[in-house]
Amino acid sequence: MTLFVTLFKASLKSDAQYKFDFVINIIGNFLGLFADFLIVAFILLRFQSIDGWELHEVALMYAIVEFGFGVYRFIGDGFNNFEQLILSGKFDTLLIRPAPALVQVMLQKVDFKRLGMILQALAVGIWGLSNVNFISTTYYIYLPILLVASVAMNLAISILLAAIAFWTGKNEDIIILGHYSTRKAASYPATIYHSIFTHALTFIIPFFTISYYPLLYLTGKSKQILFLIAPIIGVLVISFLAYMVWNTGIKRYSSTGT
Amino acid sequence: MIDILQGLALAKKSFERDQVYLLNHIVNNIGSLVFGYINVRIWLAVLGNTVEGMEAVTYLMVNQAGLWLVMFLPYGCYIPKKVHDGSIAYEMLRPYSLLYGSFFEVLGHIVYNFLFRSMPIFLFSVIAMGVALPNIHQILPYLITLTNGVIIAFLINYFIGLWSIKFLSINGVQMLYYFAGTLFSGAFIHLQYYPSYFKELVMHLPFAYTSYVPTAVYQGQFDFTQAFISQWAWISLLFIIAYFLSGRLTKKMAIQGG
Repeated sequence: MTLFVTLFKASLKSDAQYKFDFVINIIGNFLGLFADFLIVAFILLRFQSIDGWELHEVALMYAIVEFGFGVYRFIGDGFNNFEQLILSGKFDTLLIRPAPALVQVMLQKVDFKRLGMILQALAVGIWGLSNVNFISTTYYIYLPILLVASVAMNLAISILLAAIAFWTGKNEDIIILGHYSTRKAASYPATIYHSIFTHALTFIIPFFTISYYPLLYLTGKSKQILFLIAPIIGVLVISFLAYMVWNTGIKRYSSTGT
Repeated sequence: MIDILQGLALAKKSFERDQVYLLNHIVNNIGSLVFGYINVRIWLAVLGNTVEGMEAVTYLMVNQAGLWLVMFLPYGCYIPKKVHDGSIAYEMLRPYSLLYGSFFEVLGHIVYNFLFRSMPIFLFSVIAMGVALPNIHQILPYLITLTNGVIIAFLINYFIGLWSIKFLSINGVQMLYYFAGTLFSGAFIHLQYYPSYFKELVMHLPFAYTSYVPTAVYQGQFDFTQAFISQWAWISLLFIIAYFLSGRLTKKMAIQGG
């Protein structure tokens, strides 16, 4: 924890040094991803619903996924740029330090400009929440759990995909395919896709367990109570898988060393 | 004496540099297809399997293939990278200007992208997703307007490069560009689905002339002559600004270096 606080302060200091750049970065990160949502908003303003889902419900689905992604980029950007650690050989130096490599990669830098991403997700989410009609007090307890699950899901997927670099070296393109595209897909109802694609997002990269399934129950479109615990199952399974792949990768990596 | 051969040699070098990562780019193409697939499914969900729906599929996938030529260009035309590692100083010693050098370096990358990214994505879309081929009389007009679109996109990206000379970091401005590109280029939504006042605004910005206009020409929905004249008006304006800004910024940089 002390490690994290020290790093947090150091990152903030270095980022805030160039104020103009810092502000442009936050605004850029706010608007950059928000454009994706605006497109959907334009579609829904015209067509009212996507497969029975209204704009505010889609907004909520989008906000849950994007919030987790924003927080992950805020504290876990090291995984996003993991190939640079591997390709430059800097990863070797992390292995001889006393702290676990996983923690060290995560704490490469706290990336403050990603606050913009988190803010836009929250803004869309709050707007969505204030306009949906299914909400009750119990849901206010459940929704934060969903947000935490989304952070955990994004982190676990990023670790899983980062670990692939132990075998392939470069993995930027695998991240775009395995994380970015699936994340975008999870912002919309599963029924619009082919069933193979839906299964992949339920059982392989289980993004739908934190967005589509719980909202299916919350919006009253399904009575299946299992959907409410889907995020917990999804996060547990993907975390376990990520941990296994990461450890196998590290073992393989050290055995190929000098 | 500057001649075109110097430029072509530069283009060839950046083409060969890209070739090294062919395998990564194949993975990336699959990612791009997934993004295209998601957009297509959203549109089919609202429009249904109708003539209008299939037109939207063609529109979206032609743009998805074209993204690699007009949106996903090297950050700031490679300039930020050169500013970062200091090699920008050598660029100043070259017998040609920064604008000239950047254009041909990006050209090599674009030719590569056309062959190994746009074409495979387009062909897959035609074979597997029901994308309609253009009327034979639209092929040449499409290729010409697409080329014009590429030049406009190059010039906009070049401004991001110039930004890096002045402000060093481009992350924020790159995201702002992504925001503008997503919302104003029409790459992910046919402009006819925007409210009319918004479409009016968009047609007064350069972004629509990189994606919407060429693809609308492809589909025979936009007059070629009008497209050509508007595009060259933008190219002329952006070129003049780029030319003068380059002069000012590179002169300043020389003073810093001295």
